[in-house]
Amino acid sequence: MGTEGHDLNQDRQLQQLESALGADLRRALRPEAAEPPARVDAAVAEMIRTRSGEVRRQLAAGRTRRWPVWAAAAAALLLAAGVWTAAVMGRGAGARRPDIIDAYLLERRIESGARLDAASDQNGDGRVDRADVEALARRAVEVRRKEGA
Amino acid sequence: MRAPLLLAALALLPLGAALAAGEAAARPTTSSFRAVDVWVDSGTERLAAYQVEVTYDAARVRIVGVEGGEPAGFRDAPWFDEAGKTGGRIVLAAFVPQDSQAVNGARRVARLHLQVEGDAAPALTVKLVAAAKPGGERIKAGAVPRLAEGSK
Repeated sequence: MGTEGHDLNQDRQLQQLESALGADLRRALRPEAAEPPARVDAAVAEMIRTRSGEVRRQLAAGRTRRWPVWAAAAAALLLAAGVWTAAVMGRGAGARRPDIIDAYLLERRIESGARLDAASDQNGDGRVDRADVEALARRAVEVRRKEGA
Repeated sequence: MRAPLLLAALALLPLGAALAAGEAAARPTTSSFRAVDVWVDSGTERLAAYQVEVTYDAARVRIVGVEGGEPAGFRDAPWFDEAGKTGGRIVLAAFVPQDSQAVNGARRVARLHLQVEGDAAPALTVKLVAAAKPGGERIKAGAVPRLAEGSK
């Protein structure tokens, strides 16, 4: 009985010691808090602000540089469309002075019986026939005297 | 007695000069008729249509006639403007009635009859404005004037 009591007492003491030491050990070995110091935090925030500003400026500069390229492309597109429209409309309206090849082609179209549009009516008589070929050919060879000649 | 005769002679001098000048004016200037051919060379392509511009010295040259050329397709006189006969520039143009009549090579496509003042040969230039092969596709060709055979 005396020995058992002594053992029990020892066990209790060991447990107390163990818990006391363990708590101290855990406290001693516990890593320090990971929160950065305020000055580090401020420095990092400042770096982020600086870099963000640089990126924003670069993006803005890029947009500014790209604008003339887009403007030039749009202008070129508009110019091409204008030239094409003028060419098509000019052909239809007879803006270009006709030459003998226009007369030849009209003659062949009349011969072939192809469908002829109203623009081919050169003399305005409401029909497209050989008289229009004649009118085209005459316009092709027309000579305008120089002023004063 | 001599003085009145001298005066009369002096008075008649202008009359004599005027008569001499009138005779010179009435004398016909040297004028001749020449014929100049217009040649178009379309190379290996067959020529179905052509248009040329002929320029000349209007002070010395007057066109008095326009004829067609040698190939059957261009035998009829080409289209031209009457105003071009005297203005120093005339445009000639023609196309073959049938595409089968289109021919290649150098061909005499038109002839111009000229009245030329003076003895010097008429200086003409011929410029090709347009040429096409059967079907209407435009082709390159050359055009030159040549004094017609037998024309001095």
